[in-house]
Amino acid sequence: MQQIFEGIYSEGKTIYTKNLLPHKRVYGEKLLVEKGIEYREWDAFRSKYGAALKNGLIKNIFFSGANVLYLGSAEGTTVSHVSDIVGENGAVFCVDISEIAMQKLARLAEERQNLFPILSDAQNTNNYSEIITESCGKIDALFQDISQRNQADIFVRNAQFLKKGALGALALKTKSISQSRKKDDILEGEKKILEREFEIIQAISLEPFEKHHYLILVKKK
Amino acid sequence: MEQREFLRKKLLKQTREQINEKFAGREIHIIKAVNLLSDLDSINNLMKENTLEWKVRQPTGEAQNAFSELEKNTQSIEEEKKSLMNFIEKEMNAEFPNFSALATPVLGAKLLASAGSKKRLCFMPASTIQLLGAEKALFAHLRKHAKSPKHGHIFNHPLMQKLPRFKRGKAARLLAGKLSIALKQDYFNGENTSEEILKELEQKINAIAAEPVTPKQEQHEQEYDQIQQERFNEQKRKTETRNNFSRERNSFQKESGPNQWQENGPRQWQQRSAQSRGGTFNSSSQRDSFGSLPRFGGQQTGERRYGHTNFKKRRPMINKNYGQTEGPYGEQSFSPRENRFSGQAYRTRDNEISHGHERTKNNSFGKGRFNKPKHSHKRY
Repeated sequence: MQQIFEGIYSEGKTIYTKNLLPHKRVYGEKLLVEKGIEYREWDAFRSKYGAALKNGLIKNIFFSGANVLYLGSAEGTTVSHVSDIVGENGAVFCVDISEIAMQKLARLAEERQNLFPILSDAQNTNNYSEIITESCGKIDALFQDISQRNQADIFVRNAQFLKKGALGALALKTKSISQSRKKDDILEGEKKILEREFEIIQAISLEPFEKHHYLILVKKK
Repeated sequence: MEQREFLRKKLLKQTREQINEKFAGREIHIIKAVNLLSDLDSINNLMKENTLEWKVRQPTGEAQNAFSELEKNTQSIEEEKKSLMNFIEKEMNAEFPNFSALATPVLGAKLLASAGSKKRLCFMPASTIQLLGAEKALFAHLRKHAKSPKHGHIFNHPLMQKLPRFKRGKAARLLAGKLSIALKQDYFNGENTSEEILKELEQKINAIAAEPVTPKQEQHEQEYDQIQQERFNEQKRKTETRNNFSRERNSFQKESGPNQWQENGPRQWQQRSAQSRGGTFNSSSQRDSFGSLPRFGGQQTGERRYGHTNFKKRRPMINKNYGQTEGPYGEQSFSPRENRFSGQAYRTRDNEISHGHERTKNNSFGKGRFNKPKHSHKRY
């Protein structure tokens, strides 16, 4: 077991995070015990950030004790790993619009002490701006996984919460922007939108794990 | 820390309440039921078709048992459908007394399902209600200058059914207007005036039915009939020619015996491929239990070959540079297979030069091996 990034470990081909709540699974993943510490396997086929890590992400945006804003948390597959990395001192604000997905996430948030569920549209930042600014001021990391046509626009709108020089990552689904245009062209177009607020570090395709997806790593200007 | 814990508990409670609010409404269950009803319809049709076909063959013995089981199941689906209809009727009458009396409960539930929620349906203008369920036709009209649709789900209303084709547009407008008024009455807890409105509606639609047909309408109708007749004739001609062709082919095959290519073609190919591998080809001993020839000329010794790539030498799936569009390894990290599509000639399995005309990019073989299915967890 060797450490790739802070809080992320690998053995052979698979990636792991330390389990915050030992002996508990979230989505039926494998558990591994080594030297008395329990690790949870990170399934790259179900998590876009996990897929990006496997395809060679340069930097990890999450670290222990960080305050994270997670847009499009869904049922909490990736969120559970982020909460593992962030640890007990950190906080993950999970925003999602779907009530059905939020039902599962609320169940997860009762167990894990660092999850803050928010049922809201990520486009209307006013719905949750008070919660974030009152609890921790500005945020250390921003992650977004929303399949909407104006994905990049939503990401830029949420940049107001991010600290200067902090990192963010956007999982881009090109199919929801255009069905007919080539995915490289779409990526170039979206990069231009992001450059208003961010400096782009890396863009990776998630090809064998997810089709027509990119992960864009950015730093706030 | 305590403050944070307090905030977390507050947020949890808030989301719980919001979720409960969403699922408390009656309309969600109506929508679920009406969607299920349309699915059950198609299942019911399929099962009935199969039972009828089987019944003609007169099953006996073991087959009789299996058949009777199927018959029982089809009946139970019909009962399920009936109970669902009852449920929808009861719920719709309680939730939308005016609307369900005017639109009939099941049709009303369909309109509700395509609107999404009670509030959204009740605040819709009449013209939108008129076209609910005809979205495809509407957007074709907006984009391609196709003809504008006159009615969506409303078309199935019993009052609309008896009207001739060219009077349905006018009636649909009238009906949709009345429905939208009824919806507003229901939403703001108005009185139940459905009987009067239904009477008024029937009168007006009868008046529309009694209107004399104008010469222009008559002309349009004749043209429409003509087009329908032409379409029908063309379809008939197509099926006839198809039948004639198959009849000719059958008679030809009877005269000339089995197809020569089918017998000889593949075997020659197998012989050649076996020789290239250093083996011999013996047709009689290598037939499998089905009596057909194995594809690669029988048992193989040494390395097995799949296509022209070797399994052992395959690039490992976990490569940090794989899929990276920038950086030093950029394009090299992609599969060397791509050369095949670049227009260069390459050598095939049988040591022949090929230019890649046989296989295009779209139907490249080995597709399933390289593009893994989305949700397989076996490998990792």
